[in-house]
Amino acid sequence: MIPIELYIGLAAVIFSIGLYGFMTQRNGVRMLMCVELMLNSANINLVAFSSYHGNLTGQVFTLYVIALAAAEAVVGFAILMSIFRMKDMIDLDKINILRW
Amino acid sequence: MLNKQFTIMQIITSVYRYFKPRILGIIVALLFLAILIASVIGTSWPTVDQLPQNLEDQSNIVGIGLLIFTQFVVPFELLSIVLLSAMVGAIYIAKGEAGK
Repeated sequence: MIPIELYIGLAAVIFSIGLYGFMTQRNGVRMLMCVELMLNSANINLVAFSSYHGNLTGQVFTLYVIALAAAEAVVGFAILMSIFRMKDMIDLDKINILRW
Repeated sequence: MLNKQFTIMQIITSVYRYFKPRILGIIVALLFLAILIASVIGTSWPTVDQLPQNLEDQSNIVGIGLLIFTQFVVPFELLSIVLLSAMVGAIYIAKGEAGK
Protein backbone atom coordinates (compact mmCIF):
# COMPACT_ATOMS: atom_id res chain seq x y z
CA MET A 1 0.00 0.00 0.00
CA ILE A 2 1.38 3.38 -0.99
CA PRO A 3 1.82 5.66 2.02
CA ILE A 4 -0.44 8.68 2.05
CA GLU A 5 2.48 11.11 2.27
CA LEU A 6 3.29 10.40 -1.37
CA TYR A 7 -0.21 11.34 -2.49
CA ILE A 8 -0.17 14.53 -0.46
CA GLY A 9 3.34 15.30 -1.67
CA LEU A 10 2.23 14.89 -5.30
CA ALA A 11 -0.71 17.20 -4.63
CA ALA A 12 1.63 19.74 -3.01
CA VAL A 13 4.00 19.64 -5.99
CA ILE A 14 1.16 20.10 -8.48
CA PHE A 15 -0.29 22.92 -6.40
CA SER A 16 3.10 24.64 -6.30
CA ILE A 17 3.47 24.34 -10.08
CA GLY A 18 0.04 25.91 -10.48
CA LEU A 19 0.91 28.66 -8.01
CA TYR A 20 4.17 29.43 -9.81
CA GLY A 21 2.43 29.60 -13.17
CA PHE A 22 -0.36 31.74 -11.77
CA MET A 23 2.13 34.20 -10.32
CA THR A 24 4.48 34.44 -13.28
CA GLN A 25 2.37 34.08 -16.41
CA ARG A 26 0.32 37.04 -17.62
CA ASN A 27 -1.52 35.25 -20.40
CA GLY A 28 -5.14 34.65 -19.50
CA VAL A 29 -5.35 31.13 -20.91
CA ARG A 30 -2.21 30.05 -19.08
CA MET A 31 -3.52 31.50 -15.82
CA LEU A 32 -6.75 29.53 -16.21
CA MET A 33 -4.74 26.37 -16.90
CA CYS A 34 -2.78 26.94 -13.69
CA VAL A 35 -6.00 27.43 -11.73
CA GLU A 36 -7.14 24.06 -13.07
CA LEU A 37 -3.88 22.52 -11.86
CA MET A 38 -4.46 23.85 -8.34
CA LEU A 39 -8.07 22.59 -8.31
CA ASN A 40 -7.00 19.14 -9.43
CA SER A 41 -4.32 18.90 -6.75
CA ALA A 42 -7.07 19.52 -4.19
CA ASN A 43 -9.02 16.70 -5.86
CA ILE A 44 -6.05 14.35 -5.43
CA ASN A 45 -6.03 15.16 -1.71
CA LEU A 46 -9.76 14.48 -1.41
CA VAL A 47 -9.55 11.14 -3.20
CA ALA A 48 -6.49 10.03 -1.23
CA PHE A 49 -8.04 10.74 2.15
CA SER A 50 -11.33 9.22 1.07
CA SER A 51 -9.61 6.04 -0.04
CA TYR A 52 -7.54 5.77 3.12
CA HIS A 53 -10.52 6.28 5.41
CA GLY A 54 -12.68 3.78 3.55
CA ASN A 55 -15.34 6.44 3.16
CA LEU A 56 -16.75 7.27 -0.25
CA THR A 57 -17.96 10.78 0.57
CA GLY A 58 -14.72 12.39 -0.53
CA GLN A 59 -14.87 10.81 -3.95
CA VAL A 60 -18.45 11.95 -4.46
CA PHE A 61 -17.37 15.43 -3.39
CA THR A 62 -14.53 15.25 -5.92
CA LEU A 63 -17.06 14.63 -8.68
CA TYR A 64 -18.90 17.79 -7.66
CA VAL A 65 -15.64 19.74 -7.54
CA ILE A 66 -14.78 18.57 -11.06
CA ALA A 67 -18.18 19.70 -12.34
CA LEU A 68 -17.83 23.10 -10.65
CA ALA A 69 -14.33 23.45 -12.12
CA ALA A 70 -15.81 22.82 -15.55
CA ALA A 71 -18.38 25.57 -14.97
CA GLU A 72 -15.65 27.94 -13.78
CA ALA A 73 -13.47 27.21 -16.79
CA VAL A 74 -16.42 27.79 -19.14
CA VAL A 75 -17.21 31.17 -17.63
CA GLY A 76 -13.54 32.18 -17.55
CA PHE A 77 -12.92 31.32 -21.17
CA ALA A 78 -16.10 33.10 -22.21
CA ILE A 79 -14.94 36.25 -20.41
CA LEU A 80 -11.51 35.91 -22.03
CA MET A 81 -13.10 35.55 -25.47
CA SER A 82 -15.16 38.67 -24.89
CA ILE A 83 -12.07 40.60 -23.73
CA PHE A 84 -10.10 39.35 -26.74
CA ARG A 85 -12.83 40.56 -29.04
CA MET A 86 -12.74 44.00 -27.47
CA LYS A 87 -9.00 44.57 -27.11
CA ASP A 88 -7.33 41.95 -29.36
CA MET A 89 -5.16 40.69 -26.52
CA ILE A 90 -5.53 38.73 -23.30
CA ASP A 91 -2.55 40.11 -21.44
CA LEU A 92 -4.15 40.50 -18.03
CA ASP A 93 -1.66 43.15 -16.88
CA LYS A 94 -3.03 45.64 -19.38
CA ILE A 95 -6.72 45.01 -18.81
CA ASN A 96 -8.58 47.05 -16.21
CA ILE A 97 -12.14 47.04 -17.51
CA LEU A 98 -13.30 44.72 -14.73
CA ARG A 99 -11.82 46.95 -12.05
CA TRP A 100 -14.11 48.80 -9.74
CA MET B 1 24.09 17.54 -37.61
CA LEU B 2 22.38 20.75 -36.83
CA ASN B 3 23.60 23.83 -38.58
CA LYS B 4 23.11 25.90 -35.47
CA GLN B 5 25.64 24.93 -32.87
CA PHE B 6 24.54 25.44 -29.31
CA THR B 7 27.36 26.03 -26.96
CA ILE B 8 27.13 25.69 -23.23
CA MET B 9 27.37 29.45 -22.84
CA GLN B 10 24.35 30.05 -25.07
CA ILE B 11 22.30 27.51 -23.16
CA ILE B 12 23.23 29.11 -19.88
CA THR B 13 22.39 32.55 -21.25
CA SER B 14 18.99 31.48 -22.51
CA VAL B 15 18.15 29.77 -19.22
CA TYR B 16 19.21 32.91 -17.38
CA ARG B 17 17.05 35.06 -19.65
CA TYR B 18 14.08 32.79 -19.04
CA PHE B 19 14.38 32.66 -15.27
CA LYS B 20 15.49 36.22 -14.56
CA PRO B 21 12.04 37.92 -14.63
CA ARG B 22 10.45 34.96 -12.83
CA ILE B 23 12.85 34.55 -9.92
CA LEU B 24 10.44 35.99 -7.34
CA GLY B 25 7.68 33.60 -8.38
CA ILE B 26 10.08 30.67 -8.24
CA ILE B 27 11.23 31.64 -4.74
CA VAL B 28 7.71 32.04 -3.41
CA ALA B 29 6.49 28.78 -4.98
CA LEU B 30 9.49 26.84 -3.66
CA LEU B 31 9.01 28.26 -0.15
CA PHE B 32 5.35 27.29 -0.25
CA LEU B 33 6.27 23.80 -1.45
CA ALA B 34 8.86 23.45 1.30
CA ILE B 35 6.34 24.46 3.96
CA LEU B 36 3.79 21.99 2.60
CA ILE B 37 6.26 19.11 2.35
CA ALA B 38 7.64 19.80 5.83
CA SER B 39 4.17 19.84 7.35
CA VAL B 40 3.19 16.65 5.50
CA ILE B 41 6.28 14.81 6.68
CA GLY B 42 6.02 16.17 10.20
CA THR B 43 2.41 15.05 10.67
CA SER B 44 1.71 11.58 11.95
CA TRP B 45 -1.21 10.45 9.84
CA PRO B 46 -3.37 8.04 11.80
CA THR B 47 -4.63 6.24 8.72
CA VAL B 48 -1.33 5.28 7.15
CA ASP B 49 -0.86 1.89 8.73
CA GLN B 50 -4.45 0.80 8.41
CA LEU B 51 -5.60 -1.05 5.36
CA PRO B 52 -8.86 0.06 3.76
CA GLN B 53 -11.87 -1.85 4.84
CA ASN B 54 -12.78 -3.22 1.43
CA LEU B 55 -9.39 -4.25 0.16
CA GLU B 56 -10.59 -7.23 -1.84
CA ASP B 57 -13.31 -5.17 -3.52
CA GLN B 58 -11.47 -2.27 -5.15
CA SER B 59 -14.34 -1.19 -7.36
CA ASN B 60 -16.31 1.63 -5.80
CA ILE B 61 -18.38 2.77 -8.76
CA VAL B 62 -21.48 1.19 -7.29
CA GLY B 63 -20.94 2.91 -3.98
CA ILE B 64 -20.37 6.29 -5.58
CA GLY B 65 -23.50 5.92 -7.68
CA LEU B 66 -25.57 4.92 -4.67
CA LEU B 67 -24.23 7.86 -2.66
CA ILE B 68 -24.94 10.33 -5.47
CA PHE B 69 -28.52 9.21 -5.90
CA THR B 70 -29.43 8.70 -2.25
CA GLN B 71 -27.56 10.85 0.23
CA PHE B 72 -26.22 13.59 -2.05
CA VAL B 73 -29.14 13.90 -4.44
CA VAL B 74 -29.92 17.52 -3.53
CA PRO B 75 -26.40 18.82 -4.42
CA PHE B 76 -26.60 16.73 -7.58
CA GLU B 77 -29.77 18.51 -8.68
CA LEU B 78 -28.34 21.88 -7.66
CA LEU B 79 -25.24 21.09 -9.71
CA SER B 80 -27.35 20.55 -12.80
CA ILE B 81 -28.88 24.01 -12.33
CA VAL B 82 -25.41 25.53 -11.81
CA LEU B 83 -24.04 23.89 -14.95
CA LEU B 84 -27.05 24.98 -17.00
CA SER B 85 -26.80 28.58 -15.82
CA ALA B 86 -23.03 28.64 -16.42
CA MET B 87 -23.55 27.29 -19.93
CA VAL B 88 -26.26 29.84 -20.74
CA GLY B 89 -24.17 32.69 -19.33
CA ALA B 90 -21.04 31.61 -21.16
CA ILE B 91 -22.90 31.31 -24.45
CA TYR B 92 -24.43 34.73 -23.93
CA ILE B 93 -21.06 36.31 -23.12
CA ALA B 94 -19.11 34.58 -25.89
CA LYS B 95 -21.77 35.08 -28.53
CA GLY B 96 -20.64 38.58 -29.37
CA GLU B 97 -21.94 40.71 -32.16
CA ALA B 98 -22.45 37.89 -34.65
CA GLY B 99 -25.50 36.59 -32.84
CA LYS B 100 -27.56 39.73 -33.28
